[in-house]
Amino acid sequence: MNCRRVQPLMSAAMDGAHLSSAERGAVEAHLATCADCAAFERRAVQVRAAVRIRAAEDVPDLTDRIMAAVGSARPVRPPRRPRRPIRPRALMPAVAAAIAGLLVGSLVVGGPWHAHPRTAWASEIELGVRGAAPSVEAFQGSYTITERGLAPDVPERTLSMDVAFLAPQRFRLDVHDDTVYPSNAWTPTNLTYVENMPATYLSGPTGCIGTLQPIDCSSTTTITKARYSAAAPVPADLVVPLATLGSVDGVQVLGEENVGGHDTVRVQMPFSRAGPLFPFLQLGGTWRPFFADDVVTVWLDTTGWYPVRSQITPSPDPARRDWEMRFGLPHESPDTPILDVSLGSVADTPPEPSVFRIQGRKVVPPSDVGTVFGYTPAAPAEPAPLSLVAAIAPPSGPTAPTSVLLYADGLDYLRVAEDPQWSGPGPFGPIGLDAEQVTLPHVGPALYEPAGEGLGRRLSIHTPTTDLFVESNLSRDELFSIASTLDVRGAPMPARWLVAHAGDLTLTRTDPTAALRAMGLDTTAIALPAGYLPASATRSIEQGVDVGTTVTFRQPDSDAVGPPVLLHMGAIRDAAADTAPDPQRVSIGTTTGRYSPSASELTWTGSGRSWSVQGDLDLAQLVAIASSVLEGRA
Amino acid sequence: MRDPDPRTVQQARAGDLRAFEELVRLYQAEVFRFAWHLTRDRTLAEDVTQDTFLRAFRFIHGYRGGQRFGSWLFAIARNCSMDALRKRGTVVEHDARETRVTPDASTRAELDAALAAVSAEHRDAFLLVEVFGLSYQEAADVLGVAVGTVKSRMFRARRALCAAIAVDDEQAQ
Repeated sequence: MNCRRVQPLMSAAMDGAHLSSAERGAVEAHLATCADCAAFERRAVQVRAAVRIRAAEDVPDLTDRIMAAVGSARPVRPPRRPRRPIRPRALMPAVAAAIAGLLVGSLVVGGPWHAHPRTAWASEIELGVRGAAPSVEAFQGSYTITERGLAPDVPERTLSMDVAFLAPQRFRLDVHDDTVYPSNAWTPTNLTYVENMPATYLSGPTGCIGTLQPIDCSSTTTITKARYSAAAPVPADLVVPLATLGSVDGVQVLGEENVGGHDTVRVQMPFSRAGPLFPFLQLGGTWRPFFADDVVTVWLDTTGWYPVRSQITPSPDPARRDWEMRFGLPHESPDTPILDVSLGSVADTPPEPSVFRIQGRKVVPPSDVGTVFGYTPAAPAEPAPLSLVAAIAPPSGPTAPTSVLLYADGLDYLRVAEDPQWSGPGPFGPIGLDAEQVTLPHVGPALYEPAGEGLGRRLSIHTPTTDLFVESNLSRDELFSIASTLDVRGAPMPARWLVAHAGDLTLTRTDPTAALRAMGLDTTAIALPAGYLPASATRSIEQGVDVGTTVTFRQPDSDAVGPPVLLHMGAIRDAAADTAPDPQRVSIGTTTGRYSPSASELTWTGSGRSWSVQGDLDLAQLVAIASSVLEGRA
Repeated sequence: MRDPDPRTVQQARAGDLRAFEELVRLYQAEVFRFAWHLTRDRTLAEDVTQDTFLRAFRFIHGYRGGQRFGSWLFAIARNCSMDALRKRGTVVEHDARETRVTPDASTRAELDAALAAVSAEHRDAFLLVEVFGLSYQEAADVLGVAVGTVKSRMFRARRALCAAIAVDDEQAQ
């Protein structure tokens, strides 16, 4: 055992962690001969003494002050939906608009939160949304969608939308287009989406065009029937916006308002961050385009944490003009909403289970699992707080798993898909080449990919006898801790799964620490922003020649939020081939680099190689990383 | 960290202000010390302590009983401290006056400076485990991370602090 393994064990043992007798023996044997580790132990004890044995801090008695503040507050009811009377839908938008109009920009003074500063809302929203997700059992909401600017002859459209949810994992979204179109050349946007545990069903507008009568254009036709979809449930954020507001980074809290009888908090974010709040835009039909920086305002109910109203207004950014020209749009004023989704009625009464019915797959009773699948699927021994809600046999297909176990708790879910005969060209499940190689306690090696592209956080586990894909909307740590209780022993992925080909280019997944070492670098020497760790690395080989290595760094605890930082070392690039539209010269110590703000990338050459660092960072952070790389290699 | 009588928590959940006051008396010193460590500002730590209990009262239904009440309160105190620092728009400055009150002032000052230099994540884990005596599991609950993450953050913080003392040793020689 070497110092790198011994010191963490010593540290854990100091804090009461249990070491096996073998570990204890190895640590003691090492300590007897290693002066460095003995010094580490001595100093750690010194540190403990210094921080624990100290003069008591002068702690004030704040009881009276706290109780005075508490006396004017009231506990928020448990995040369970109140049964609200269904309101007449026709009245709602007008009433909501009138009230919102009166209150825009103002705080409700004298309300229950008057002693409560606005900034504190950010973390309350997180707490509220995360707390609500597992406790929602049923939801039914009716909405009015108003869209402006689809086309010159269709300046405004009105659609109605109904959303239903029934735990576990049953969703239905219906959009009905109420617009009166100028001609029958227009196809109404009528959509139906049903998600019933791991199967989805989607129907959209028929392809009928005005001249092809007498097809009834108001009826819908199935256009997709997904065999197996690992995507996060599409309308989930209309029930509890966990994807959008489970983390409030980049969200601005504007204040409190009462909207149509709901106590709400008003928040704002760019459209690029708010996609899950407008799930219907992804489901087909015809919709107007939106600019990434268009402003999304959401009024969030502070009892049930569902959006009462969501509105998109054009961004005032001058860059939007170019975008408008590209889409042939007129200049749009930032004052007029271009999309407005208003909740008309909401209830927590359970919808009829039959509205979620999908043909073509089979829910297997737990007692029949062995018989139906022909094997006992690998199941986590400790899925808590989730529990098994269904074992499913998806319709067979080349990329479909043979069994899926679904665990859920309210809106939180985890699915374990398994295929004992997996023979695909890569790891089982949607896992990319830049997935992180992780080691799960008890299970062993696995590939991990953060949430994104409509998928939750996911793991692919290869064993000598079967292949597993685990996907969930839980946090990385929760996912790992449940996956660690699977009764399987992971094996390294077959070598051919670590390679992808694109023309003459061959990409090979390698160990990021080894890749950094090969670059002449040590992770600890690189000045990365807090929390970033090496996650994965790929080597590119073109026609047998090694053309470069890219190391991806991620923030393991907030991987849904922070985009990765990429460090690339490769062959010297032809300066003329550098197509960045906006390069600037930047000094990195004594080296000159090129910075492209649009790509957020800093490039430089050194030691006969071309280097670049890219990520959602400011120039100072990029320069700090580049300097540390230059120094680390010096 | 002490545990409250479960009946007191039950009564506080039902809106009993006296029961809640009992919880305030039981935990305010720990919450204040934790907030002080995170903010390094007495006035701010007082505000954070008040805000923590106010938020705990409002969200007491969110406490599910699966974790220790103190861990749940520390998690709120940590959020409130982050909010307060963000609102004030400053990073935590090392306040020398606050650290020169102990007899072993020079070691403490070295350690405080070293602690201020490690990342916030590592420092939070170190404070919870080493200073407040939480178990890895309890610290993991407060920080919302896995036990293994606490273990590795704790080790990195400890290594940084040992290195600071080592420099001190060498300079003394």
